[in-house]
Amino acid sequence: MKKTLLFFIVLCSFSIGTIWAEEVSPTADLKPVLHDITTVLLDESLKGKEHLEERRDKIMSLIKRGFDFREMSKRVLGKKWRQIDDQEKDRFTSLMTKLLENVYIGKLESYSGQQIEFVGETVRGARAQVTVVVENNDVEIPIHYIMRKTDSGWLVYDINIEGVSLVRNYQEQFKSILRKDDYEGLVKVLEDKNRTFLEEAM
Amino acid sequence: MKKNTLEMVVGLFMIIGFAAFVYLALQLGEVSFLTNSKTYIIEAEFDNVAGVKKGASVQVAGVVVGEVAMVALSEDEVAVLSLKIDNSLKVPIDSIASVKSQGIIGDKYIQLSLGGDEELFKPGELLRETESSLDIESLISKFAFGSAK
Repeated sequence: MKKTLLFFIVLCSFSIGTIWAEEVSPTADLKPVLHDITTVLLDESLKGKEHLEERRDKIMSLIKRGFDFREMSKRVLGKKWRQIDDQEKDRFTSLMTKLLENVYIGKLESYSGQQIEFVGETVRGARAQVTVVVENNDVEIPIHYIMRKTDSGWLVYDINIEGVSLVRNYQEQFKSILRKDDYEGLVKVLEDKNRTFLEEAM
Repeated sequence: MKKNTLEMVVGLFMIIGFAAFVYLALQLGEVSFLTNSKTYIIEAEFDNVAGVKKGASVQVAGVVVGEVAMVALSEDEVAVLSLKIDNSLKVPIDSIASVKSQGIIGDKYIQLSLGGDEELFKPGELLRETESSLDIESLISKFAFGSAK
């Protein structure tokens, strides 16, 4: 009788343990990602043009850990997403990811140790907003990371800086390209843009 | 007998005229019970709605599809706008609501960027993907004074 009771208690504490472990906060999921990225950005051994590819590969793999590029691409494409097949969805996601990498990684590389402070989070069901303040030359810039809960934890699907959403920005631009040149036209625009970046880097 | 009929006809005309007047007044005054059946409300949560007034238009691609029925503060002290939208407009749940100005310094209105999700907002539900009012002065001070260094 005592043994079964003890067994029961141990079993219960295991399940309580796992339930508790699942309640990770969005900030707790985002913090290590940002920390790792800034560590790479500040790493002296990776600075300079010689280490460009290695550095960017490292940064992108870290970003992919915390950012849901598929969800971002889905929202950016809008209604059209449902009309393309899975293979096309993968293709668009990789195009979009490459575009964001090209546009923003240069800006990320100008990071020189500015302080990043986590000031708060709001969680509503499967959606959360984590606010971070970056201090640069005494100017405080609030950045909101919009995250959603997935099987692999909380992932970012939109960034809102000074009230402007990244997803809405691209969605609006893509909407007008989709209207005039359809999906194929949009894919071509993205491919051309990415190619331009590649040529500039060489 | 004839006098009675005449009086009755005059009375009838007066009633019809009065009813027409009441109808006109209600239509122009946009009294809610006449318009409510043609619209539904979606709540939208913002960090800042400075400048947005009750009655401000709600637009999709520049076309007016509704108006702001109410501006309030929620229990968590964030701004909540009640958007009264035409029944004919279906709003996917990944749509984004932004506070915009006509021109850069004109009247504020709400722009709805419709998303692509299959699931749509039901009346009374809360939209959270939002872009708040642009605080021009704070932006200028941030970047003007920031770049003076």
